[in-house]
Amino acid sequence: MARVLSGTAPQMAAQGRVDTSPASAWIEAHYEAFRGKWVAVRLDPPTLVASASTLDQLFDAVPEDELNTCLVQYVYTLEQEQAIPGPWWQP
Amino acid sequence: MSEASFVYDYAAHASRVRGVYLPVTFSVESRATTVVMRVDCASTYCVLERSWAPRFGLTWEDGDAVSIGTATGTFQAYLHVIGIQIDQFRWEAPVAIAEFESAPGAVPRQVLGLIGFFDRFRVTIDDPDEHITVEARF
Repeated sequence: MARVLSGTAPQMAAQGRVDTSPASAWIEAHYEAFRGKWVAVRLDPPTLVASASTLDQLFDAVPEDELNTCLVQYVYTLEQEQAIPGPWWQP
Repeated sequence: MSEASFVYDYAAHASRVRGVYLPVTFSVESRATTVVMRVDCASTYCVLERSWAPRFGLTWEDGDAVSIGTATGTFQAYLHVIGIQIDQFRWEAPVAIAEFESAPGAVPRQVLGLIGFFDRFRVTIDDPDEHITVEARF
């Protein structure tokens, strides 16, 4: 049994809000080109920083500081879109 | 709606694969990354894949070990306290970093669960309109 790690209660962020809308719109507009890939898109202005087959590869491809200002998202394949999601965890 | 709430329209994500989604920024010290996460009230913990441990400079096995049960078996994870931000709200919570990384082209298995997310907010999911409202109780 793990000990209880409590963390903190939510507070208003000192740095303000993170607006992912432009980066999300960029991903949606370029969705077909990146199916089955992870993408890192700069939050503002929204531009592609890197894409990769795995999250590990994506993290390796993007400089550490630059990753701080990116939206990271997996782009579903057509097959994944057509499958009906069931219980989420699979072996 | 009060100032201490955030409404997110997840329709674009759900039109691809059915589910409820939120963009979340995870951080440890100066390293931060924003990622779109599935919301899953069936998961006890928020779960990230193992790749996040080195991304945040964490030694995976230095966390608190947990074995997480699923419908199809169990997986090993270690809990690390990680900074989490959704819109204007920021807090810290234990997050389970799992032993696995999804294979190339596999759907990521990363979720916002009960501990660290649902226990911090009043969460309202309006699925017909594909909105999720996150309301803090300061």
